[in-house]
Parts: sequence; C-alpha cells; structure tokens
Amino acid sequence: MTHEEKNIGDGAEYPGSDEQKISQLLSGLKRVEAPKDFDFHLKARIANGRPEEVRPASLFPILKYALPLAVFLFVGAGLILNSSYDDWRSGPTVVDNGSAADTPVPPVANSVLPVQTPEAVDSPSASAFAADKAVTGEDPQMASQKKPKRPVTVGRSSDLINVEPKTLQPGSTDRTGGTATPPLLLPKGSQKDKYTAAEGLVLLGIDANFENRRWNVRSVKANEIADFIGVRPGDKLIAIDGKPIDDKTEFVGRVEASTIRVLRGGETMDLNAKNKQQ
Amino acid sequence: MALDKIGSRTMEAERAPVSEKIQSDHELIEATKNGDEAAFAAIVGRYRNPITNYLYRFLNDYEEAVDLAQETFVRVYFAIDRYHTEYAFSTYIYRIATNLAISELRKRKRRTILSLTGLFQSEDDEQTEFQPPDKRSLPDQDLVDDERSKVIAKAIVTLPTKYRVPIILRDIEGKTYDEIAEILDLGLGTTKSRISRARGLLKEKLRHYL
Repeated sequence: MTHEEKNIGDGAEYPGSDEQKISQLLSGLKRVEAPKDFDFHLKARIANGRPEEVRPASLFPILKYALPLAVFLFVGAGLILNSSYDDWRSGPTVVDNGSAADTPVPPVANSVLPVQTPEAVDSPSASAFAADKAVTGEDPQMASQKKPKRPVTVGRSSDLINVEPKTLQPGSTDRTGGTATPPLLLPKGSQKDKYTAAEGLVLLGIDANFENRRWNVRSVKANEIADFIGVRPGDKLIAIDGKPIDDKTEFVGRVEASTIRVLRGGETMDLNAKNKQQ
Repeated sequence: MALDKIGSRTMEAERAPVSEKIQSDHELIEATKNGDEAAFAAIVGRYRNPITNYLYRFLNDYEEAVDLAQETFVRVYFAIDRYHTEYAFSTYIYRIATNLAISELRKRKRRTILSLTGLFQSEDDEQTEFQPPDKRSLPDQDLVDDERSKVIAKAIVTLPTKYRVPIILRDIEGKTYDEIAEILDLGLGTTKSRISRARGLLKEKLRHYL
C-alpha cells in the first residue's frame, strides 16, 4: 500500500479539524527520492568496511586504565596544590605530641630554622638538625611521614604562647632522642640554602650588631620568633638551640630557633616560648 | 564483497517487481544472511526512497539526508546478523535512521556552539532547502505551492525532536501509531500525545495555510 493510498493523518478521527488540515498539509508535501547514484555510493561505502562506531565496549578497555589514572592525577594535583597553599599561607609551625590541626594561617613570623654553625656540624646535635629539617620541610605531610611521632601542627603564632614545649636545658643538644623536645617554630620557609649570622638573626626578628665577639640585640621586631621567645633589646646572644653564635655562624637550610641563650644583666638565660617573661 | 551486484540487481529488481513483492522483508533478510547479495539489493531498492524522504523531512537537508540514508543501509548490512525478526524490518530500519538523524542534529548543535561564525548565523542559513533543478518556467500556482512547501518544511524542522519524529512518521511516512510506538520505543498513548502536540505546534506556525 502506498503512502497516498493510506488514509494518512487523522482525518478519519477528527474530520474537518485543524489537526486533519495539518495532517493533509504534511501529507501533501512532495516526496523526495534518493539520487540515481545512491546504490553506487552505498556500494562504495560498504566496500570501505564497517562504519566507525564508538561503542561502550570498545571504550571500556581504555577507561579501565584511564579512569584510575585520571583519579590518581586529580588527587595528586589536589594534594600538591593543598600543600603549596598551606606553605604559602602558614605561619609558624609547632611540632608537639598533641593532635594535629591543619589550620592555614597568615604568616606572622618570618621563617626559621635549623641553626648550624661550622663548629657544630660534627656535634651530636647535627643529626637532630637533620631530623628537624625533615620536619621543617616544604611539605608538612612528608615531614609527618618521616617523623610520624612528631606531627606538624600549623597554628597561629600567638598560639605558640599557649603550647607547652619542653625546654632545652642549657648545654643539652639532644633534641630528638632525649626528653627535651623544644617547640619548632616554623614560619614561612626560607628561600636560600645558607644565611649569614646577620641574615639569620633578621629572619628571627633580631636587629643586632656584633661587638666584643658577641651579638648585641638592639631591637626585636614585634610578632617575630625572637619576640615570642622573649629576646629583649640589650640582650647579648650566646647560643641558639645550644649552638654558639658569633659572626662566623651560618644558618644552613631553614633557620630555626626554639631556645635562645642570652646574657642579660650578667645572667645567662635560656629563653623560649614557654618561659617567656611577660 | 559480492555487493558489486547491487546496482545491477536493483535494476533487475525494478524490472521484475513481481518477484520482489513475493518476498517479504524477513525473507530478504534471511537470504542476505545466507549470502544472497541480490536480496540486500532488493531491500535497498525497497527502502531507499522512503528513508531518504524521511531523513530529508527530518533534517531539511537533502545531501545530509542522502548521506545518512546510505549510512543507515551500511549499518543494516554490517549488523544484519544481529537483526531479529521479532520486529518488522521497517521498524528496525526506521529506528536506525532516526537514531542517526538525532546524532546528526547533536553534531550540528555542537558545531554551532564551537563555531564562532555560528554565533552570527541565522536559522535560515543553517537549514539549506533542497531545490531540485527545474528548468521549466514555473506557473503561478507552482510558485505558490513551492513557497508553501518551503514554509511547511521549515515549520517541521523547528519542532523539537521528540515531536518532529513522530509527526513525520505519521503524516508524511504514513506509519501507524503502533509502528511509530515501536520505532520510537514509546507507549501508544505517549506516541499519540506527541503527534497531537506536534500538530498543535504546527497549527500555530501554519495558520495562514489552514
């Protein structure tokens, strides 16, 4: 039965209605036919082979590998960005035995790390500094992996006052295996591998001049590490974290200071955040 | 590929339409599965014009319609072993053609989005009207009819796909509601509703011709 022979449209159902008229308009359209070379081209296409179909089945083997890889890359990129962001935002970092709370904070104090004098390279504390470098590395998570028992906590500088670090006893140099575990103040990381004594002190927030073989503190910058520890103008610096400091001292790697021994009023004092005198 | 005989066989089929009519679609499919290329040529000869016309009304682009009609047969040919006779072959081939046409519309949409020039194209630019060459001088009535056909064709392609497909199948291809429901894998009520809705939409666009 041809198209015309059928009672196309719903004329029988709705005689005289608009629907019937629409149906008749459409059925009255001229029918187009395939071109004469239709079979020729069809034959050529069939001779060319199977059409390229993108089937889920063919995609599956690719997805099986691509999907986990994409997820892995996505997660990895997220972690890297997160750590970079934390590094950028974080102020001083406290390492203690308490619970870790990763709260990004604006930088308050300058960066800091390990103080290492040429004389101290071979000292027993050298390994301690190496360990601390791991803790004070760029990636706090990596640091926590290296020293899982000493998770890195990022907190506000002002929070440092409230933590209760163990204080280094004068002369004590063991910061890892011993009971004395002073806080590590880890503000924004330094960019250089090595600093002179003057540069290192500036990073700690100390303005000092070297006279009579000692660094004499002229002023202390507010809200910097030295300020938190309790260094005052007029103090004479003797050692930082047990390492004697003079004009030849170099800060290798990250500048670090948790305990500063000073000569104040003829009395030697070990200053740190805990025993800071208000 | 024994399809070398498609052309000649088609001509033979045209010369001997009686023998073609004797064989049903399913018989031709079975014969094709058994390697009878002439049977496939007969199927092509039977459906090339309806499918081309259907796709042309769907896309309003003759060259694209011919291309997709050929693609439809290519797919039928390579998937013929997977064809089951639970559905009518016409349902099967119209479903393939419909899916191809819908895919083509999606591609067009993507091209329009991606193309900067697409931002400045009007709707008229996108839809090329097929005008078969006619060297005769057209009388007035022919001119009027031709213009009306263009307007109707444009009105059809402005319909949303879900309304366009069933009304073309119903009012242009003359399919029954049941056939359309099977082609579109819809319920009978939904099919009728969409066709009615399509007519309602067309009524607004074509009220000058009513």
